[in-house]
Amino acid sequence: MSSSTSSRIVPAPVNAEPAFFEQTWDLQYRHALGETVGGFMQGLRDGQLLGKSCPSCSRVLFPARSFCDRCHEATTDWVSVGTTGTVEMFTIVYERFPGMLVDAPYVLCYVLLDGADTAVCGYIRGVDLTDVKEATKRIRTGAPVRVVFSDAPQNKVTDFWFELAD
Amino acid sequence: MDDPSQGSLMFPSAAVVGAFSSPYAARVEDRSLEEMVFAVTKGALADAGLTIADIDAVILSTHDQATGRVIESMVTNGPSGGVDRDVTTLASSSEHALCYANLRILAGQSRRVLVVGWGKPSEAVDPSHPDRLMAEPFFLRPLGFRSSVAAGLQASAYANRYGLDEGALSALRTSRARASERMHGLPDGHFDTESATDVVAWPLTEADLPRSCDMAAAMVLVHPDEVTSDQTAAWVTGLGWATDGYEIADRDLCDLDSLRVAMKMALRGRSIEDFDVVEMTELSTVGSFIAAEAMGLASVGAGASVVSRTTPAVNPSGGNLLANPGNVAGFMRLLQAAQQVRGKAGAAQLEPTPRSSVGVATHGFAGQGNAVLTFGASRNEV
Amino acid sequence: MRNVAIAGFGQSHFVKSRTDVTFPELVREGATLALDDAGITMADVQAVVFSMAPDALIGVGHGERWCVEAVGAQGKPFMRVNTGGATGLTAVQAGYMHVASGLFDVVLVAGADRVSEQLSAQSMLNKMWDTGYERLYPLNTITMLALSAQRYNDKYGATEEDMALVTVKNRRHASLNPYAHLRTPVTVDDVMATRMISWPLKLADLCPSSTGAASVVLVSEEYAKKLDSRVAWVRGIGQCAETIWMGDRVGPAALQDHADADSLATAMQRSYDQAGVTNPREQIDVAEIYAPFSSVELHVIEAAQLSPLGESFTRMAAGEFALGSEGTVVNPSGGTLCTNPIAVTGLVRAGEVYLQVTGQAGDRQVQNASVGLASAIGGDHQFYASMVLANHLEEIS
Repeated sequence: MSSSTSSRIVPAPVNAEPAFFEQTWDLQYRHALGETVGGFMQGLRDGQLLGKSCPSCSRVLFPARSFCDRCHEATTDWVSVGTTGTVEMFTIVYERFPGMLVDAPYVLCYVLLDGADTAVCGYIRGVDLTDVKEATKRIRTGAPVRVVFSDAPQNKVTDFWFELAD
Repeated sequence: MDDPSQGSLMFPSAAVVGAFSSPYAARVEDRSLEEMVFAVTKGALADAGLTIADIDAVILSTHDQATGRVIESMVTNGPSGGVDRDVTTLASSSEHALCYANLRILAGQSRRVLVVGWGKPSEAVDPSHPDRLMAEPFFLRPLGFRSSVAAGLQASAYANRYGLDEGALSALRTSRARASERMHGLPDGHFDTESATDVVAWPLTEADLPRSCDMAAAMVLVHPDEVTSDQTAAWVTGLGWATDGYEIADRDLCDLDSLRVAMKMALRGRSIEDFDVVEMTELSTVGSFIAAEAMGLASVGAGASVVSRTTPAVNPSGGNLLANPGNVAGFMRLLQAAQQVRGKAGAAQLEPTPRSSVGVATHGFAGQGNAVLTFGASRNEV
Repeated sequence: MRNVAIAGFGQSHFVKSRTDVTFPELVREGATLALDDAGITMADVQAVVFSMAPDALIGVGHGERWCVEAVGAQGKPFMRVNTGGATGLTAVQAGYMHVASGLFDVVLVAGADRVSEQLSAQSMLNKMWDTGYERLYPLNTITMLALSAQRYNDKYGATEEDMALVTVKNRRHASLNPYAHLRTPVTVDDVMATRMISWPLKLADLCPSSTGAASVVLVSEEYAKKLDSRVAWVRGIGQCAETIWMGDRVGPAALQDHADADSLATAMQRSYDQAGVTNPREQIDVAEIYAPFSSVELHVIEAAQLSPLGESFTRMAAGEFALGSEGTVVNPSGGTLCTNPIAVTGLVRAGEVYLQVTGQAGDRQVQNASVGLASAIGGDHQFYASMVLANHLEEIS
């Protein structure tokens, strides 16, 4: 406790404006992806879409994962899945969120590709999105799609996307 | 819980029947975090002779910024066997997940609990960045405050009051380095404690502060009545935890009050001298002296004597000074204390197998928080 | 098993932002209100559970450590829970566990959030997903639930107007709740006129970013007898976790459907089993069930078995679930849709049920409420917590 005789009680200071502290977290990471994700990426470079199967429930998990979280077992076989499939669910994003990866509007969806038992996240491109009512007549649960591979790949899972097949 | 005799009705609260941790690696680059977690979960279950279907609750322990995940438990729940299971995530420190496992079992809500934790500091390009984020933003963060600075302040306070026994510090560094090499199957001299003399935060050099590694670990705890004759158990005979205030200037840095409180809770009237082995977290070499005093392993000001302590034995695993897996540094001490009484402590195993052990987990700047679990080799070792 | 009760609850008047207090000071506000409500002081508290969701929302790593003094926890057992949006209710369950274990008689559960101070929240929340695949897509809490809403509407024939009914109901409830954040009543047309964020979700289908604190005091039965305070007994708890992979929740091989909240139903059933609730529609008087978006309330009502699957919106259109109606009232506080301080929104659910069954809910009181349900959701509809509370310990009939 201060025993200084020079300290004294004074009137509370008045803030004209509330005070703030501003900071941006600048954190950099280098995430190890492991052999399975690495294998998927290699397959993608070779134009293949690879999943892995669970020896217990037999599901083909796509994109490839090293274990099945339903059975808590390591996956075993590599399985090549098809380049056609069906839209299971989708949304059309119009809002421009700060720091997001692509410019709105865009379609984000999950597609069940032929031969896969789990649906994969991806974009649907090539649909006019200006009128949401028209767009959501064309894009719907059950719509058939085909895979399109990027001709300027960046070694990421986003090197493929979907177009409506009808 | 002031009455130790009431506590003895509740203990042992649980038994550790499975434990597994990943092999030592300074940096794990060939496996993802999810894969590391999956491997230790499978390993702990196998050690317990159980499968995930036998587990009725999963408790995860996370530290988001350390590995760059927001809500780390999202990606680690699957590998931990948490799908379709009751999952709780403790995010204050990994040892709290173990404390909580005991609470669930004592409350009668769970019979077999899986507790999983990990530390993968190598995934942060500069691990001091997430560390510095723990400093409150108004006064400490602009000063670059971080764990090593807090440890340095604590060590300088201790040096000021009691002086520093350089011989004991050097002996401690050497002892921990050799024990760690034995524990982790590394060649003699792998950990160089002689030339790491750069001062990081006076009076602490690199060799006085924990060195990072990547590690995941899992333990299976069961209700005492669930232990089968096929399982090797470490019985939880005591449990205590406490956290001090955040404001470092309000604490006596030469002491660890939260450790005193946690020890009192966990010992339930027993003496630390009654135990065969102690595994304790060491936030720095000098921090080890301070912790020893707070635990009653050394008298006030004589913490340096912990180096030559043999009964109880202290940190036969080498502790965390040379192998500090971030978030699970404390968890690993508790795991290794349990392994000692189970006879499964690997190269660090004491012979004959200890009958009782104490595990001390410490976290936060200058040891703000502590948790203590005591283990016994038999159900009656309370 | 030992009986445990909520003996006090405190919450801030939730707003967009608070410039008068730091984070620890805000936490203290909630804690003090709860302690006053229970009629005890910080010195009586034996252990503390801190409720805090992602550190990044607050901007301090392990921010709970910064708040120890604010909750009077120096030298006490203290731990923190983080299950994303479910954090607050998981924290109350953890507090329950402390007392039910027999080790403690009085436990404080406290926390706060200041979501609007995080200027890039959705970009931050994108980092919930795995580094190999899904983080590379603009998944965030809004898009993930837009997918669910689209699928639900397609599966059951619900429309955007049906979703809007939830906003209308909850805003009316919130207008009666002085603690709620968004309190202005709206019409279906008002909701439909707000801008499209992620189809089919519009701005008025979404929760606000709220700032405020909340806290509860949990006590043992012996301790409760010493208090001159109405209490709400914890009759049952349950939790369940789902796979992180939303793509696993669709297609013939799926066990759960992303359109529904199946794992929430499991968590709720676990709490019903413990509580002896056999007929939720008849036995649950009030349900404070976490739903940050209008669409989410439709399927959580069904997960709670308050309606058969796919019927919640037609029943809501017929007036069910609203204050003043017969049957279970859903979110009389306005719910998470009107007030979402993420770290404690699950805690507020339990606190609001406590207020209801102890007759302290003011203008939003459900008449004769005796048994209530609180639930919360975290992650990408991944972590679920459920709790049944009652103002008595007799069999629930």
